[in-house]
Amino acid sequence: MSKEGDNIVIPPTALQVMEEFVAVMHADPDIPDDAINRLETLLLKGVVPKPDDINKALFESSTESEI
Amino acid sequence: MIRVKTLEIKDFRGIRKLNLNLACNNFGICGPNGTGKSGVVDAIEFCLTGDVTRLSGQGTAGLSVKNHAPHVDQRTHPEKANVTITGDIPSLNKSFTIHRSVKNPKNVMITPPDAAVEGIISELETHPEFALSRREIVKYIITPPGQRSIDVQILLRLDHIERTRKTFTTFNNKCRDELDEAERNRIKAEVDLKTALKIDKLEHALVLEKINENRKILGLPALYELTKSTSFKSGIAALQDADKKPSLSKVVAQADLSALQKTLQSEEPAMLIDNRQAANTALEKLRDDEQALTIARRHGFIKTGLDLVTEDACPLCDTPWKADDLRDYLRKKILNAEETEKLLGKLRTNINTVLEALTNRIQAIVRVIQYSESLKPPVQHIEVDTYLNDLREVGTALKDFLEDHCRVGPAITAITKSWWSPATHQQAQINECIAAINTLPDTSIAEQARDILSVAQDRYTRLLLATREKRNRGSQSTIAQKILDHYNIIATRVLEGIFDQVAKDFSTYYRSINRDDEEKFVGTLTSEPAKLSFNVDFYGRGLFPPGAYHSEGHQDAMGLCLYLALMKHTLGDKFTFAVLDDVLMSVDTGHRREVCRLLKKEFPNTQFILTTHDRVWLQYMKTENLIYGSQSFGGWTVDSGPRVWDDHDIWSEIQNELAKDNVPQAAWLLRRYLEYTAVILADNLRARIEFRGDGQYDLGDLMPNVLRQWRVLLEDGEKSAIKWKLEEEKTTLAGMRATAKELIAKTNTEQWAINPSVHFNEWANLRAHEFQEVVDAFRTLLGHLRCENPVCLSYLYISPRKGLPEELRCNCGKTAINLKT
Repeated sequence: MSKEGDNIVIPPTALQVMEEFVAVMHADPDIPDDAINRLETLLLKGVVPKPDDINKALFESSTESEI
Repeated sequence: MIRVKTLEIKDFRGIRKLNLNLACNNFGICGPNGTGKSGVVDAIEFCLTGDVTRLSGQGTAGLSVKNHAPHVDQRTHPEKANVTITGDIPSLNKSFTIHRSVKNPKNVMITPPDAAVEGIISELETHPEFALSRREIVKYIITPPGQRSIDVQILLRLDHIERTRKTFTTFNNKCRDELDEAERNRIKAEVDLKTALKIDKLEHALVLEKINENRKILGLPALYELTKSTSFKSGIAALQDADKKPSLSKVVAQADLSALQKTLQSEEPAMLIDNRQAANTALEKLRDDEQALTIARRHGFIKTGLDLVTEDACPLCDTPWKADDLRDYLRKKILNAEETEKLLGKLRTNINTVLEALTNRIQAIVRVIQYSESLKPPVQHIEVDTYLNDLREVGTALKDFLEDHCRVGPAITAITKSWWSPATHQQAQINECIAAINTLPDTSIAEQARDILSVAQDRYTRLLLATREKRNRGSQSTIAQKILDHYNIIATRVLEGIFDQVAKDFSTYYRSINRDDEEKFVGTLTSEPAKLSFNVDFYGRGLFPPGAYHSEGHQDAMGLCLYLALMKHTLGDKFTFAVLDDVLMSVDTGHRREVCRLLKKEFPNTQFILTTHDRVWLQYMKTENLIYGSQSFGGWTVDSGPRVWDDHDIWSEIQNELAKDNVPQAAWLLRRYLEYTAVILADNLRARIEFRGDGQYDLGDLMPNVLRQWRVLLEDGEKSAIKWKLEEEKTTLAGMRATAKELIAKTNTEQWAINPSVHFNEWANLRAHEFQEVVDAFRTLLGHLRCENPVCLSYLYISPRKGLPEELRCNCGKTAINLKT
């Protein structure tokens, strides 16, 4: 089924791909869960994100602070 | 999706005013070419989407909805061109009215206002595939794989997936570039530290040994481990010099400049030359490949053009070309995707190697400038600045190319630029800086040790930062690659599943239409990068593209089946409405009933609006109960639009003309109506008509033979009744035969072939009361050929359609005359 966010409908097939994609990412220990959650939120907006948005969602809070 | 109840069209395309009552059921629209059928399709599309593909799609330059959708006489009054649709939305259990005017195509009026209804209409606006012409539907079959991939993606709403995939790819490339950059910076930081400490290898023991040598000079305790928090200067605080940075350390500067001088005096390393040459060769190959393509942009353009070559002409300028020659010509101009990817991968490695050396050189020259400025008096470095700018330009051009492969020209200029050895005047200023450093007074051993520790500390910290940066970029790049891989795998798996299911449904549908000779038929859809291959079985001889061996009629049927399979997958239960404009033009009569059955059986909840110029096809649709209503167009004039044939109204219309003593018009109406009916009857009764190669049969060709066949069939029925000793049946049929003879005689039809003076061509010369007799005779005769049941009223037809006739029957079954003897 389609999902709506800000009146943008995600096509059902795209949504199916997205759901399976998120599940596979969660099963991957190399990808942090909070990054996946932020990426999922971004993808669910219905608009294909820009690379900078993906970068922000994935890495904005993961930079190491110590040398 | 929606179901259409009524359609009202005003001054739109070739239609002046037309009302259709579809009652949410399947509906047929029939008429010869140029009578306005497609105008109805355009009107439906316009009302639901605000657009008319025929006026805005491919090859419609110079046309527009606003200027050309109104009836030609209202072209300056677009406000008078309107379409109104009433209908239901089953999924919402709601009714609606949609009104749209050409004056403002994007402004749709939906009543009553309802957000959910508006949402469904909005979705139709963006995906108008519910209305397809034969040309549009067959494109799924005969289009090249690249274009099919795009078309099918759009129909299945898969473009979102493809665009997401592209974004992840771009993101992954960006992360990889950043990792490369971080690695170059780390290597440079390592080189700088080694230079400051005058060591060849960056090993803990060596670093500690050099650090401790200097600490010993200062009387500081030795360090025994090298960690992130190790301070080479620990203890210097006690000497109250800890934070004092040397403004210019002669010994470190000499080490830095000595390392630079050494490289400047050497020849360009073979490894660097090799990488520059390899990169240049690859870049030139790209340029030559893309020269006619203007790099990547034209690469895409040519690829698109290649897919668009469907006729013997250039798709852009219409210059005549043989399609195959043009395709070959274009193919030669582009590298295939695999080769390009391989080439770009190697090129990337070559350029990164060059960039690594370039980064080292840039940082060394930056240091020369810093030293020049630190000297008192400062040493001039304007020429060195120029050299630095040149180096940076080279680096920027190469990095730009890595980000965007369109920028191949500047990259070639950069990669061929000889930057290893600076110009003589540039070298002279570097030498001046070195000489000035060498003339600085020597500092004490202790001061030198303190300076070395201080600079080494800075460079060690920079190395740690660069290492951390590289590690971060590395893990980010790993995650980006994993994300891209995961998405590719999932998307491919889902799409393959979809294509498998679509191919399965397609094969089932096609087999059901062609069960007589292709019951083992299968079709496959194979998704590959940027293309969707479609192959079908050809009588067990293998899988081939649909256009390879199958006839046009079979391709038409495949187009419909693939479209239905795609729509079923895309919309599922929401596939409740489709307009098919003359889509089965080439399907032979033997398979049309199967098409009707397919639509009824597999899509019982879909409202189909089907147009055809073939009256027999329309009759099949009725006979098979596919459609419950229809509208026939019997002609068209620019002033009045389509002439609507209505069984119930045609006789009233003729009477009206006769009442006005307009015999020519009444005669024209009767003749066109009889022509329309004669085709249906000829097919129903399997009348023997003299074959004409051009397929053009007039009333004189058809009607006498139809009526002769009718009498033969009644006679056959009577013989059958006699054989089976059915007295009552025999009497009835004898009566029908007598009636038929009398009614046919009244129409003079049997005389047409032998006596032109009573030919229908003379009707217009008759007087009104004389022609009234002709009208009455034909009206009664046609009634005689129908079922008596007022609910049925269908023209009788022979069953089965092929082979030995068994029965003359109607749709409802009330009339069933046995023909078997």
